[in-house]
Amino acid sequence: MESLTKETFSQKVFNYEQNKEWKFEGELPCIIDFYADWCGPCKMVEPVLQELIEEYQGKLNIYRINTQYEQELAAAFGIQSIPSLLFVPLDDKPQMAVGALPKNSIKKAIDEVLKVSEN
Amino acid sequence: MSEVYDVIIVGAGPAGLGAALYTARDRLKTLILEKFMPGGQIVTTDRIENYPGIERIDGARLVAQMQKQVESFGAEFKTGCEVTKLEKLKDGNIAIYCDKDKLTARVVILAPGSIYRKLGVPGEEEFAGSGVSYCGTCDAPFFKGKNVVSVGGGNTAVEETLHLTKYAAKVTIIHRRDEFRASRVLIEELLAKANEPNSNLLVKYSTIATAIQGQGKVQSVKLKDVKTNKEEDYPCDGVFIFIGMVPNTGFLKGFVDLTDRGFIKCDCAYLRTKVRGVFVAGDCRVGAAMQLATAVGDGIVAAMMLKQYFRDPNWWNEPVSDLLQPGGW
Repeated sequence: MESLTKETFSQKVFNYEQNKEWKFEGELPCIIDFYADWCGPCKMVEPVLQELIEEYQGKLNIYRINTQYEQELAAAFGIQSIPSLLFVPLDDKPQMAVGALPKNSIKKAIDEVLKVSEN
Repeated sequence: MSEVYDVIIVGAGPAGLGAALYTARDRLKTLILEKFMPGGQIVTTDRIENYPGIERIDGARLVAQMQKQVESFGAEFKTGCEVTKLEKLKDGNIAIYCDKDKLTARVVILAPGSIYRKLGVPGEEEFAGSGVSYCGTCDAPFFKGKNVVSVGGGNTAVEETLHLTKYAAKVTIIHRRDEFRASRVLIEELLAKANEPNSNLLVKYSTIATAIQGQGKVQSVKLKDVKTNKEEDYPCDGVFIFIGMVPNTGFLKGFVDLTDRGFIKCDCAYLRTKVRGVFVAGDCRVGAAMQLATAVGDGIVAAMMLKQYFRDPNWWNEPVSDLLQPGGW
């Protein structure tokens, strides 16, 4: 899973320094996993996301942001609890889900928020 | 027709892993289903000091060792798999529906564990994830230099509160009773910390939180002294809630008997439910001590007892008896 830095986040997701309004820079919908190495529930979500990368290959991207190192990005999204998953659709505003979600719930959000169906 | 497992274990927390260790060592075809990855609630714990034989370890490391041990004896894991329904089949086996799969087993051990209990006060839902947290080890670093309130009086509350003091400028722990329920050794550590000169830890007994308040973010919590009924708005940036767990058994309604609070009813000795071939283990059962070691123990009891069921299915309806000596099998 690709880890985003402030620079790659600006290129692939949203350049919040240039734009005040939300403007998605990506070509595919994406999910962003805000996590940290100290967080047990984050470790529980990671393999689920890895499976989803395979299942939705070519239809969406899944990224991670390490909140320990990317504190500015975490603060920009007001992250105060991890894991937090940001669901970013192509043509709508992103939606944040806090907490470790089971696979079925993530798939439901992929379907309903990202409007993406399984391969 | 798909293969029939000897045992399917629902949940890969300490209870499920304890059970799997024994069934796999008995060369029973064992599958463990887990909606995330192995571990359950214990992976959020950064210090375990009450598991006999291990002086101190964090939950994630202990679980990794348990999983490795279980796998070495041949148990299979299926992670990212949420069980939605179970069904007793005419041939005596049990069907388990998990995502799009239908799996079949001769015996099922239910070990779905528990989830955080909520306070149920105004503001709790609104600020969940943005000032209200149920995991100190996960979220404490986001409150560096801030004022937080922690709620609870058991082992988890005390351990997590001590963890919070490493990050927050000030931590206030409130407890509804006038003494903590945690282990003495933890209470001593907590009170020693609170009594340090210029300590950042304050203890408030006989106090409950009745609302979490703020504009866009947590700014205060409404506290009530249960002895005087006096209320105050207590400024803070975050509220950490550690008031116990509730069983994760919603998907089992109508299949096994549940108590009003959602715990699975069983005989509490052999861990049999009302459904033949379905055992229960760990935090989710009535009478559970909600401890790591007792969850593991439950898993082992279920794994021992299922052999008696394999030998004689009619044993299921027999009363608990001192004639049964599983160690002698």
